[in-house]
Amino acid sequence: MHSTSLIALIPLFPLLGVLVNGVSVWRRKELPRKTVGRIAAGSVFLSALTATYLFVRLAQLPDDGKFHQVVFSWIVAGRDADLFSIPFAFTFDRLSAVMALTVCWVGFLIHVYSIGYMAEDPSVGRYFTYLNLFMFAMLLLVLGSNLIVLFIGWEGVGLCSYLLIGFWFEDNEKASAGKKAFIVNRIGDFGFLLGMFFLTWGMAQVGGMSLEYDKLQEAILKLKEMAVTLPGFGTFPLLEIVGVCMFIGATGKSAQIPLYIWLPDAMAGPTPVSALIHAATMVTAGVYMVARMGFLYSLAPFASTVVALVGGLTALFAATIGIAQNDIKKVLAYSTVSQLGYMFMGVGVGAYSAGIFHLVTHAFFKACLFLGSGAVIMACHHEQDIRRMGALWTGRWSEKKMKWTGLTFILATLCIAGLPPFSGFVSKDEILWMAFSTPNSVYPTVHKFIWGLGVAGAFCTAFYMTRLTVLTFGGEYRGGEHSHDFHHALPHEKVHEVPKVMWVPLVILMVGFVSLGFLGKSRIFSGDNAFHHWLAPVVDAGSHEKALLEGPAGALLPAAGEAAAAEDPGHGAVAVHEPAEAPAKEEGGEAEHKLEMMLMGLSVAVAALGVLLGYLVYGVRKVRPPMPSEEKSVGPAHKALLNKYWVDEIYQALIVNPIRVASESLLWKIFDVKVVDGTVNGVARTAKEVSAEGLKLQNGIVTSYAFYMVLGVAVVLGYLILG
Amino acid sequence: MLNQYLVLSGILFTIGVTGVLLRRNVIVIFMCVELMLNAVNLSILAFSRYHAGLGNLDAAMNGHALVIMVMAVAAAEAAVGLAIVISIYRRRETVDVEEINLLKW
Repeated sequence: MHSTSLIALIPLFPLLGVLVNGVSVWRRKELPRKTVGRIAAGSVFLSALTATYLFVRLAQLPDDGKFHQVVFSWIVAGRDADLFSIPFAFTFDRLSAVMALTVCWVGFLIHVYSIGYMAEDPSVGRYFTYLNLFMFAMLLLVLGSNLIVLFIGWEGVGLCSYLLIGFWFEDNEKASAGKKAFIVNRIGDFGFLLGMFFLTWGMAQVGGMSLEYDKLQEAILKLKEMAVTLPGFGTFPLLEIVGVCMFIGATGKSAQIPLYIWLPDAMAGPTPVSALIHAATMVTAGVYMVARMGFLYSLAPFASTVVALVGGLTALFAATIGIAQNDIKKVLAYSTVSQLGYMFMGVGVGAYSAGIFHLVTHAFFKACLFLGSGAVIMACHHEQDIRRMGALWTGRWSEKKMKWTGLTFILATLCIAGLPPFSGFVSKDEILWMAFSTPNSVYPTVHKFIWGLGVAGAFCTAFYMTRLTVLTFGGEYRGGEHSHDFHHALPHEKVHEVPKVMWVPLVILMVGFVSLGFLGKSRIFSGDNAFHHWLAPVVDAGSHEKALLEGPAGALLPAAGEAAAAEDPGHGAVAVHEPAEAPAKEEGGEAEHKLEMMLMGLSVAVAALGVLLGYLVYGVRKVRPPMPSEEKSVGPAHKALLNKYWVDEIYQALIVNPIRVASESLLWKIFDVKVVDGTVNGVARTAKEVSAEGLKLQNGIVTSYAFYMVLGVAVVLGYLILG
Repeated sequence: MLNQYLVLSGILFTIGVTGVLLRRNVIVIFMCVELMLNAVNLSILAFSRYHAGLGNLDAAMNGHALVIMVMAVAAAEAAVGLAIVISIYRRRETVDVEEINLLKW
């Protein structure tokens, strides 16, 4: 482990940005608008440079090298064997490096874009303060060397998300969208906290209470032997409980079933915020957490299955909703939920590097899509409804309304749809392949089912993204006429391309998501998965532990023997590290490669079919989504999708309303009014009545005071003499 | 000897207490308070002398010092108290405590 004091600089720069911009907003001495943006973007740029420099130095270290920096000793309690110590420390290993680079560079581009997008907004200083604060928290999250530092970042990004969703808080709907995001996230965070409590308890049993990743990883085999008895439920292995609890936190932060409902509403925030927080970085925190705790999840097969299954279900579920949405940002929001599902599918089946790879590619193409949608919204003068758009990228190059936005958006659509050679294809296909080929030791067939969900979701993704793109950029312009559905109209001539400061980041992101694909699996291109090799020492550390279990110790432990039996020799992640199994791999290798190519062909076909169908329906047949007035008469399936399966309404009826009714009738009108107020008022009334009697003693007549005094002296004297 | 002093002191103190309780004139109440203080002074001196014995004047000085202290405080108290009485008389033209009863609930 090498140490360097540069790591702390990465989160420090955005924090300085927060201080400069925040103080000027607070003291009401607004800096010039341009300066505000330059400070914010510049601070992130410095972070990005620092991260890149550290990345280069890290690449020169041996495989398992990492940088470590203890900023200060933070929480210390107990001594000797009971020592509980949480240092405020950073780790820059290969996983954090990937995350930090993604967060910093995508974040920087979005900051630059924001300068253009927020140019007219009156509270631009507040906006950039929050945005920099978010960068600070997010970098704490990815760089922290223990779960507590991660958790500060985790809560910090939640706070910034709340602040930025409700950025235009004068609008009640937007303010309550922020509140919804915060509350739903807090529900998930409760699970995350519980997971950390269980983990701390377990670490206390094996000696050395610590939540450092290194320490946890060292102790993981001992932790695996432990069990927790939950009264009324039964006894479970500790790691499974921790895994599931922490995943509950991830479902909140990363918008998975059942806590995904906040993300579509989060689109109330400014569009660059949706790109940065609700697509590229914050919502992927859960995926990062699972990959970071990979050594734990790979020893917790049940929890991993839950992760993969929830991911698969979310991937398909959200993709189907995306088909019928008409708000350009809502479509992208459901698309994000769905893509996050793929990432969880990846990390759930044990393919941590594949999940993280999809995270990185998704950060680029989804940021590009969101920023593109922001450009479209701005070009159409705050119109977000795709029924009112169209023809933004038709005709010859010189006639196209939004040349660069359109180009990047269309390429990003092909990328997310999963067409080769874009990175979206490479990373998504890697996840699907790993889901298909990795055996599950708990439920043998569940991974095939998850794979099926993924493929179905991929078809929906290709379809709804094509629908969105064709309706926005192709066909004829539909925003020009008044109708009784839409009262405002915008002539086509007034639609214009956005300023350069906004489309240049789009082009850079495009370069990113086009070229990233060649880093990943891409066996058809180069036969080497550079990204996996880069991450393997960190994220597949669990398989080292697993290999240890299967070694000499394995014979002694029946549970470990089962795990070994379930471990397919063809599982790439393990085979890489186990030369002993290499011959078995070579035998199966040929057939496996053929199968992989077949599945790859299948997923390309599915994606192409989705794109084609979308194009035929919305481009050639020119089917138009129903206008608000026609929405009553659509078919039942369409209605279900249009209403997002009524999930919000179901939650409202099952959870929110009972809580509200119980709070009002029981907690407020009975507990608060009768018990709390009753106690307080009762004490006051008693005091008042007693003193009403008592104050009759103070009658203003000095003689009577003297009499009481003598009486008192007499009593005391009597007691002393007689008593 | 001590007994006689203490009985005298007790009688003086009782007269003082009775006066404070029964009289209405502030000046008289004031005098009665002084009477009580001096009764206490008397008993202090008696005890001091009794405990120290005749030969030990140094020890007897303790009691004397205390009594002088009490006198000094009593003089200060009398100065403040009489000033208040004068002030009240100028305002209300009375020194009857039953009529000086505004300071109450």
